[in-house]
Amino acid sequence: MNTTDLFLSLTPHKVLEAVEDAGFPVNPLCYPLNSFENRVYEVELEDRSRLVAKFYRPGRWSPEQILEEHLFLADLAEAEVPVCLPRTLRGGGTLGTIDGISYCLFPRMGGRAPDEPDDDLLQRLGMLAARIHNVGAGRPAAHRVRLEAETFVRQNVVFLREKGSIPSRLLPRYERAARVIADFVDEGIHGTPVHRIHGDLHLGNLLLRDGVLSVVDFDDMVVGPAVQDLWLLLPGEGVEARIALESFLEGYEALRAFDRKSLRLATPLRGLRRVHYAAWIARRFHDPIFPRTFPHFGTEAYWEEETRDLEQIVRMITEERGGFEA
Amino acid sequence: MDTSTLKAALLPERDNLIATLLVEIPRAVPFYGTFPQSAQVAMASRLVDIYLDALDEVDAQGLRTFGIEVFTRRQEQGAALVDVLAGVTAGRRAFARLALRALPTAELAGEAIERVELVSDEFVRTAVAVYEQRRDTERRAFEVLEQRYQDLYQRTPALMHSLDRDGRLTTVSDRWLDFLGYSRDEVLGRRSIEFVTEETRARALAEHFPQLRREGRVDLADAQFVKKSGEIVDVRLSSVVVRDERGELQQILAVFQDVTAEVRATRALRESEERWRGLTELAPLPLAVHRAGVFLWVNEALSRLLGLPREELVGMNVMRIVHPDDRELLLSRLRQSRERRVALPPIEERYVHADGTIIYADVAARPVLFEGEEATQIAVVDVTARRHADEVQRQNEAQAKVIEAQEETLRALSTPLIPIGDGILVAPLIGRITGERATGILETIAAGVVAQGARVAIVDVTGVPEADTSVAEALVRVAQAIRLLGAEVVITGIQPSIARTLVEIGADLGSLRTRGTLRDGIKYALRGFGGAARPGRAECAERGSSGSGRA
Repeated sequence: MNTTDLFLSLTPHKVLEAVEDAGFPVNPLCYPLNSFENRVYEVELEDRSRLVAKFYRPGRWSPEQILEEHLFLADLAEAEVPVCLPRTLRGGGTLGTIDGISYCLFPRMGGRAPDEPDDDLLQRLGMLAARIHNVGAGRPAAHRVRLEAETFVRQNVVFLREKGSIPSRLLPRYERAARVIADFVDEGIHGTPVHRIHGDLHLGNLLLRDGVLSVVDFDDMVVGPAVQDLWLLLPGEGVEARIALESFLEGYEALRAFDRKSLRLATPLRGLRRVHYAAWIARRFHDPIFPRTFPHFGTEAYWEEETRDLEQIVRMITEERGGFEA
Repeated sequence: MDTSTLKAALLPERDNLIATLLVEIPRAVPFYGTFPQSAQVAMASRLVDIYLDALDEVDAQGLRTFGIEVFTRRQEQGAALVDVLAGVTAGRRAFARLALRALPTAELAGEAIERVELVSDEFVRTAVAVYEQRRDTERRAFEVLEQRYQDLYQRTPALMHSLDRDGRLTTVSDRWLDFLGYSRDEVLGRRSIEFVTEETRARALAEHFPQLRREGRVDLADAQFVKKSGEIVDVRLSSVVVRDERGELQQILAVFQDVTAEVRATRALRESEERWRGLTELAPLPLAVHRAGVFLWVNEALSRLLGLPREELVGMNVMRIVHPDDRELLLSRLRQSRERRVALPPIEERYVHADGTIIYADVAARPVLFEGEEATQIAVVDVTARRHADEVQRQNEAQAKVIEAQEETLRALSTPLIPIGDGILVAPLIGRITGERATGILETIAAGVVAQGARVAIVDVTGVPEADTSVAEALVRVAQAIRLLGAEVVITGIQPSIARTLVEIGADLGSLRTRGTLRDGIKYALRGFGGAARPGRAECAERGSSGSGRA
């Protein structure tokens, strides 16, 4: 059985064994938590406290890349940014392995995702993002993936084409739209400063408890432009979106300068994420949890909708550029 | 109540005050709301303890040390001075409300508040000092950087200047000043367009500045500056807009290079080209310039030669007009021309005129620079007429050879020599005998007599239709010549007209032995030699065929 098979069939027994190996005696209680990419379990320790064991999907990140994620978290915690820091395991370090599978342990963090944010919360979110980026810009991440069109769009489109995922009837339209989006991402990123960013900063990765916001799940941490951590938090279009953006930036710019020209990247990055997401599901479809979760994936209707959405994004970009050029 | 009493009175309110600060400070300063709960609790707790300790004694030094540590950290975390001051104020207010509520008298509350205000004042002073120190440090660092930038800028060997948003010069490099002959004081603050020609000024205002505002840069624009001395210089100028964080135009950086020599050279080249065109346009010799086989220019003579208008020829591939059989040859020439870049000697090529006729031409090629790029000039000499003349001559020569061969054959046929036995030759003559032919006959028979060692030559003139005096004389000359060679001549088949002519000219008939027919002549010859003559092939054939012999 290879590492991936072991990962897919990770047993509670193996989870508990890993936590004990790390120096934390456990009660035989283990609850799976919701995660598609990784395997995450809540484990009860002997003292009845609980911690969260995260098992990384083999082949996605190297140990060096994972350790850069942990280092970023350590830097953030040191700067008093509310994040969840991995526990130090027995023997030192934050990354363990069991049967070739990397894992780490986090303290359990309570809280809920914030509701639709009001102006005050948006301002705080802006400040929080600025603080994350202040820390992120303080150190490079040599092994971490860079957010760029080549990796996130073009290679994914090649993968989808070679895998035969997209119906041939739709393939030319899908490829054309993706190509345009990739070109716009390239154009927008050129000359825009990049540094360590969260990479997947949406409301679902924020926890609000007792009025305090915390940021979780740095699994998609990348080296990229600040605007990537902005657009996922904000509604898409219209006057409301502009007002929300101003509130967010009011908070952000109180603590860190923001290059407003990079806002033109927001829509291309939306397209980038869409392509990356489709390829991600296609790559993981052999994992039983994916067909169950995405039963309509791969159908004609699914790709029809994906293609239409990409084309709509291209139209939006074109209109925005028209606005910029004017 | 002494100070220890104040502290004792407020100590039970410690947790209340911490809880109040946890609410009020983040409300007053949202920045603090981005901290983890644990950090916020720690900060509030520490602040409350400092307030309570201050009721005993205000440790100014301790407060400064603490303040420096905390405010430096806040500054590093991005907080502005106004944020930390607002935090200090919020803390003081919260404590004041608590003191007023928890202490029994306003006087005591006032005393406690006064103590805490000492703390706040110290925090404010420390915060301001920390931020000013940081600002001073940054300002000094900026000044050092600015100085380095200015040094680099001014000492750069490039011609550079910077403009503010009004287009006024804010910085110029030393090289810029040297080049244009001004001092720095003479130019800073003046608009850049004061140093250019009227034409450049108009273009800058109409094109370059709008483009800069629109696109953020102008690359390699041609412009003309006016030196202090009045000399006009050509430059090639690139500019880029520098914007501030809000995207507002902050300054324009420009760098340019002196291209005066290049412009003059280009102008000279253009003039040279114009002269060349003037000379070649109307030249009678067909000329053209092509690049990779595509005509870039042709003169009127070539247009006439090919029967195509010049505008149609320019842009046309030479392959379209070359004879299909010569395309390989032309391709090879084009290759040579491209690879070797040397003059190619004339070679004959065939072109097809617009009307379909073939044009023969000697074409020479040599590499040239045309409009600044490598090309090939060709000179075309029309040799069609010469080729036609050569062809006619060649045909004439061939025809002459044929005629000559025919004549030779005829000659051979017209003077056959038939040996009919050892020592006897028969020469049957057919056709009209001219003076020239008579000479030939004479030579043939004479040569045959010598070669065969003949004793008798029978000249049969049965086939000669007519005879004039020249024929008669010729026969006489033949007979005389053969006799000189020691042989006897017998003329047979003399027609009446020949006989008459012989008489008329008074020929020495004594020298001619004649017989009526060839047969009689042969008999005579054979008899004359009394049977000593060996029978020839004809005689043997005659015997064989008749089956009878003289024996």
